[in-house]
Amino acid sequence: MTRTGRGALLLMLLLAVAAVSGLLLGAANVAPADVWRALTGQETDPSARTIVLSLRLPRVTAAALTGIALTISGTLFQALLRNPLAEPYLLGVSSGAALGAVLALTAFGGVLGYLGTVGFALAGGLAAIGIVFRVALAVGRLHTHVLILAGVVVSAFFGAGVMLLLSLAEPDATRAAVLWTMGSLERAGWESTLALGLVAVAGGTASFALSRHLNALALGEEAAAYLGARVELVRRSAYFIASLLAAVAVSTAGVIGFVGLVIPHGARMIWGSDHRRLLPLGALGGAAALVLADTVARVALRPLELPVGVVTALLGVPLFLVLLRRSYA
Amino acid sequence: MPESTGDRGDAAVYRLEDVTFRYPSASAPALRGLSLDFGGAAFTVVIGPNGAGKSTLVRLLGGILDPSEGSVNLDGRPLLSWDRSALARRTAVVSQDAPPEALRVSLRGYIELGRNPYVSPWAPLTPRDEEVIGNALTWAGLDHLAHRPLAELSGGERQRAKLARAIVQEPGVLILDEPSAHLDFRHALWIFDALRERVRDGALTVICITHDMQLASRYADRMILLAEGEAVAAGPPGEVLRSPALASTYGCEVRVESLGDLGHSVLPVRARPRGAASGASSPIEAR
Repeated sequence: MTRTGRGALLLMLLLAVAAVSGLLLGAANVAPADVWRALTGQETDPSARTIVLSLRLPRVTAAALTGIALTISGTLFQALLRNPLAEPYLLGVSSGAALGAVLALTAFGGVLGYLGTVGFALAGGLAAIGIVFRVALAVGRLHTHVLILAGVVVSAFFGAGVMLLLSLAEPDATRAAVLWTMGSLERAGWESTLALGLVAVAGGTASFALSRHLNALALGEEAAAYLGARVELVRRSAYFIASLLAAVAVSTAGVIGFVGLVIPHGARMIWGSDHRRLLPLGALGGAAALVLADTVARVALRPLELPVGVVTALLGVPLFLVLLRRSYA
Repeated sequence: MPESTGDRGDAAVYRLEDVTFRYPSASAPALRGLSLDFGGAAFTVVIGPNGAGKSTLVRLLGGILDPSEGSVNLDGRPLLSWDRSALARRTAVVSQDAPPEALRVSLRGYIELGRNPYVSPWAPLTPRDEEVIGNALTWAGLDHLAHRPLAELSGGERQRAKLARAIVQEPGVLILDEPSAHLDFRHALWIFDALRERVRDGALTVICITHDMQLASRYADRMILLAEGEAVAAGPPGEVLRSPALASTYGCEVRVESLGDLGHSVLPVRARPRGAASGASSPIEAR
């Protein structure tokens, strides 16, 4: 079996293990037999049924999809900028989404509910992308440095908006808003998961369609053009897909750091720079990593729940450092 | 197989008519009133001092830049109207930049990039693609290195890999920007030999920019001397090297000696004081 095949198999196994433990474990104790009966639609205790089908299953699904979205987004940004430090939130998506969410949670209190918060976050994220791209495209061609600068500045602006709202808000609302910005899949339901799934599948497919041109882009824009890529079109599409994926991920799950930076980078170190391998293997890895991290977040200090972004960093950083050391040794 | 436009090895493939190109921020045009034909199975070298417009010419032929005035035609069609992948199946460009160090790809994976204009990401390579890649590896003498990471190869091996990548595009025209820069004798000779052989087989039109006048005069059918964006001399290498335009273009007294089969040696004797050069003499019609 090839290296790639082995990797894919290993990651699928890991994802399966992560998903099973995500379904079995949680704040409440549900016997494995009850979990199985609930999943297969057999007669079982109604509360176990609700916990498994309405809480854990959508949550595991949402974690996997968020992992996929963030990883693909990060992979695209790293390819576009030819920089392994690029990450999904580079263009201000996260602070735009945070401002939307915090606005929903503080100014509108609990009136809007979870879906309302998601909607506001998505609008905020898209607004940030919109502003950044409008500025970057105003100079004609899409200039990387203009794009990044605009992203940083817009990010700072929206960040200031978040601070302003938080400083004026009631303590309860502030706590909810702060927790949201740390990233949590606690309230992921089927509606938002469906939207996330649609965007992740569409974005993943579109990125894969660009994979050969992304490979050529690694040689430089001019070289990619000589190899048949319509460089400007490829770049604009990839930036758009990457930003949209990040916006949808951040609006359902809050700001989960690290996954979109490290999984693509790690995948590149292990499997090389070919995006036809990198995109699917990275997506599998991102899904497994986030499902695993979310399960740990739920059970580590049971019944207290940790922000999943904290877990991704605490577990991911040491792993990544080991990988980094081995890879460049 | 994608349709090929125009016959391979046909006469007049590229035709530049009165081409002027001006970079947006520059005061003087990089190319001015350039009229040139490239075609047949011919090996053309373009020489000229730094800043003469050689690299700009490469970008124009590669379709990266559009002329400010005049027209560039490929196979009788304006280059502007060419679809990018169709163009990449017709013309391959080996530019100067080295592949980035951070690129984690095997030599074979790198050469496979040359098949981009032919393949889709959704399907595996066809046996024909594999065959073309295999042949290019053998041609470049890189078979034994196929699975090595690109970053581990020497400069000479990497330059051959770039050439193999371009050949995998199965182009009718191959454009090279200083392919022998920074290479030792052996690798430089290999590159010119390999190109000459493909041209002789009638398979390829080569347009090569170089500073190495001895190799250029030894291998080329035709030499074009660019100065300040104009073609000031064109013709058989021996004639161009002996024309008074050479000395005035480079602002340098030169001694040119015939080496028989080995072309000509061009030895710089002394630099002329600035301003003493009689300018880029009268530009000739370079056809």
